[in-house]
Amino acid sequence: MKDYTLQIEAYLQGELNEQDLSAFEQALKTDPELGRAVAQYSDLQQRFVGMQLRKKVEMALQGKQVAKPRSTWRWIWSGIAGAGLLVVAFWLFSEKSPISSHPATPAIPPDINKIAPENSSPVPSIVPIPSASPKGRPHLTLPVGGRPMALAQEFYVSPTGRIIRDITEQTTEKTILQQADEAFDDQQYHLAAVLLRDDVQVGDDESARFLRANARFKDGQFSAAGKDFQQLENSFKYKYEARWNLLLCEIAQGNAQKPAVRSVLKEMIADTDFPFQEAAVRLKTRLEY
Amino acid sequence: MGRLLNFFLGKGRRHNCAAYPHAAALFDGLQQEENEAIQCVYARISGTVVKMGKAYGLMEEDTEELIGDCIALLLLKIRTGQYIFLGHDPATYAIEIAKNKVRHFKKRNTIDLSELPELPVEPEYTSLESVEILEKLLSRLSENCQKLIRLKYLDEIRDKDIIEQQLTQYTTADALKNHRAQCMKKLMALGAKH
Repeated sequence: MKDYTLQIEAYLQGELNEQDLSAFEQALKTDPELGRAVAQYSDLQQRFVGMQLRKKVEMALQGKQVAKPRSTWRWIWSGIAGAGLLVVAFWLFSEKSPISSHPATPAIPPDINKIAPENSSPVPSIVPIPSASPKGRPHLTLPVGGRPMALAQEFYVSPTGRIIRDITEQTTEKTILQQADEAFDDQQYHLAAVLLRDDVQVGDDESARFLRANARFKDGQFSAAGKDFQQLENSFKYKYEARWNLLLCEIAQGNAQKPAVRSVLKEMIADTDFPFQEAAVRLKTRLEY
Repeated sequence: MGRLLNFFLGKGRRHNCAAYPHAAALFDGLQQEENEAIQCVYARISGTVVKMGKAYGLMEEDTEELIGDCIALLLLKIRTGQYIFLGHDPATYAIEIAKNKVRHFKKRNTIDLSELPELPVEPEYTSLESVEILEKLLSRLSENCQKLIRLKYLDEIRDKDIIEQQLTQYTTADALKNHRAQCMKKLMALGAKH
């Protein structure tokens, strides 16, 4: 059998031109071995899709454990614990807003985007497939207000100019960070997020983290983006954008009505020095608080 | 304090459904393969699947695997257009998948099969076992081959971008495709031996 390996992929992806397609299909009719190879290749591709989706699910559920049905006693204890928490919460929220730790600018509460203990693993190392709008897949139109994500995207503040400054076009071998910066600049947000998926690539570099946070946000990975923005909320350079976009990450995840989120937005509105104060006012109106 | 705030922010097990107030929104989220949509389905089905698993004598780890399988299969069916939105809750569909899978599990592990109806076998591409086998086969390839395959099939990065961003040693799309095809051939040969 002639080696058709290269053509098989093109055939399965509909990339063969008319002439090549005709020749390939003719060969398929006469060469049963080729037919088997195509079936095997197709099977392998489907397995990769399966693997990709399985990893996607694993990543999304990272740290989660199966919810066990609760016994009556567990319900009772949950009730008691809940009542206790409500008392503490009333005390906390009525005495003083728990959020502002920085007098000049409204700060996101330190724990606003920390994940509960069961989710406490670090930023996932497996990169999710595009979750914002994978190419070629239809997107349903939903009623206004039904999609907090759309609202977050609308109010998102994108970085002005290039985030990574030291790129020289002459460089023969670009670093991963430079590649990611270029990808972000080319609006290839998924690619940028993929390139910076490992924390090793980010390390303590605030610009790299800011780049990854923005790439993840634009790619629809709001939870992961929020974690990055949270780590930048005290950054001299990025604190305002980080705090604002962290708030948007919370809203995108459906937390707009939570007291802590409302409180942060309120403080942003009250702070005339906050660069996104006007946007905060508009956001509040849109959220119909 | 952190835990308390998490509590008020609803960062617990069932927090992610707030973004999906109705079935259409959840379907849309799953179609976009959003983490939050996956977490929402998990929150909605895990209790039922655990009960189901207990009724069929599944171990806890099998039940966890089953839930992962069901959600991954749901995503696969949405992606391939086998499941389209007709107004029903996608979580209910995931539970139906779980029912089928758990029946097959029972069928595999019990002697008396008379009471169980014949059911179509779901594709196993999303099963943990299938994924583990593929990982093992991939690991037997050279690092370069693994990279070429992962970039294309797992990270879904276009060849044009791979070349432009210099993610591999190849400078033309043809060279890249050619080498990847050889890697796939090796992988298929390994798979045939398995």
